[in-house]
Amino acid sequence: MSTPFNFYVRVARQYTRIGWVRKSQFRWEFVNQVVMDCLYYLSFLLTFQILYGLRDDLTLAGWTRDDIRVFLGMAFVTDAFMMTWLGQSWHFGDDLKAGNLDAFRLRPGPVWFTYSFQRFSPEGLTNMLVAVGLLTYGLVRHPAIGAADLWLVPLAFAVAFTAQAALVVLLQGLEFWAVNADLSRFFSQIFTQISDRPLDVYPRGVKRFFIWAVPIGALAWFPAGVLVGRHGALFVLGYACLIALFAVAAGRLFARGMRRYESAMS
Amino acid sequence: MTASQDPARRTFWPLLRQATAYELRKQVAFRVGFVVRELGHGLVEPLVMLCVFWALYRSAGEGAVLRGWTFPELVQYVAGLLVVRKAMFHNRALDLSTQIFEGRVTKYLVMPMDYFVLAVARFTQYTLLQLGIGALTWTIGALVAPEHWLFPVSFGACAGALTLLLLGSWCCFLVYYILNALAFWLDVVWSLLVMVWFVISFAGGALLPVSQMPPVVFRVLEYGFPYWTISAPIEVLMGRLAAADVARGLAILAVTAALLEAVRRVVWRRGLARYGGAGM
Repeated sequence: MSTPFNFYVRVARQYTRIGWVRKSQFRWEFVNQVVMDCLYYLSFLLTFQILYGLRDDLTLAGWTRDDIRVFLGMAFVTDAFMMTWLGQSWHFGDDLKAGNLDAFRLRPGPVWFTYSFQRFSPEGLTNMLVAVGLLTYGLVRHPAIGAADLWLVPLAFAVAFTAQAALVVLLQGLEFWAVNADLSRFFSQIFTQISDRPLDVYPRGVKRFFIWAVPIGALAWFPAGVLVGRHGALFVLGYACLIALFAVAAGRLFARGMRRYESAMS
Repeated sequence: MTASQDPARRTFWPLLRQATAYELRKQVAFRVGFVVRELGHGLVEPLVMLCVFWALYRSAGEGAVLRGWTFPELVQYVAGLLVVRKAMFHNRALDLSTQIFEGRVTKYLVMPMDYFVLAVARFTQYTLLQLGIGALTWTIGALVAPEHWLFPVSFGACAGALTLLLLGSWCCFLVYYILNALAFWLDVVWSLLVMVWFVISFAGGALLPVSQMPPVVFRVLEYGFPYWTISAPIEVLMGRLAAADVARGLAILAVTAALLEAVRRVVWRRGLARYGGAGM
């Protein structure tokens, strides 16, 4: 029996309310997390500013300084989505070991959703505003992007957010087969480090792997490419469909993993 | 009651088989965890950085020199970074703030010892393990790609770089210890720790060599301990910095370590005075 869409909305609304209540206990931590992410953004902006400042005519595998502004904006937006909604994934390995998924099995809804989306983060939402601001600045400064291209922004966001959620669910699903290995946290960090740069800078085989096999290209490379006009219409359509299939596959893998779940696993 | 009727005997073999498989799986998972956490730590970011520089220097043209660095020199820098990043103390090895938050420090306070010794033991274990893994990483790189790899210019350079790295790593440890101890006041300090790591890695040269940054930025950052912990040891190994620079770096690190130690003592003493002992 499929879960009605309204269910996801109602649960997400409750998680949002709980997130605000939880965060009101640690106000200083709220400020720290906002500043932390701003420093993260700043370190990237400065690094690329310095790299492009080494000489006037430099590009990064065809990405100009204007393109990179849009790319970084998109990378920050995706990261802020992760921080806002998917922060619990950092604790999945520990929760799996301790048997903390029991309560989620009893809830009337898919475990991948009720577990992964449970930790709504108000500070993540605040950083989302900063990230959207940086992306907007990048779009406005880009000479080849006009008002007629703005309809592509929702498409870029939809693909990036779907891919981010699917990736989190996929990595969590793999942990059922390697309890205590901290796979999801480790790979999540690695994939973030790789996807925070345009995939074109990597050797061809690596680039293809991260576009087609583990599609982390959908986190920033693809959506930013859509916005700056680097991808053809057919590729855009095909890749969006691929990400939808990837999300379904990730959900199925997680459900299979749940069948291996033994409450306290080690 | 016969053997076939006794439930404990009937379930013995199936249970033994299942429990053995479970224990084996658990052990293998712990090994995977070790490989992932310890061997894999700090490997990917330098390689990502190398790819970015590769793309950048390709667009700059053959034999380009960008602010004093050629591409082969940057490859050597990244090779050094692979080892230095591993050996440098990382906050993941310290869980003091969690212990304070959950009130678990209490049991150590009643023991006739200084709690700090336990943290120093953690630093020692981390450093020994990561130096071993770093040496292994360096050996593999030297065997696989000797023409691109970083080989120390002299034994003296190697000793100087190692001393800088260890003293800088000690400064990192003290910084993280102080930040963890702020949990006496702030309860949760996770984001502070991550924030400081961003600053240390940028100011130290984990994203690009500090000497390749604009001169005005370099002149500021060369007075900070992160530069002498990450970037400088690699440049010493490459022969870009001389013995006089090493001496200057050691002086900066020694003064920083002394200041941090004084701050650590004050923060710990005042924090303990606030400590309720029960946790949250």
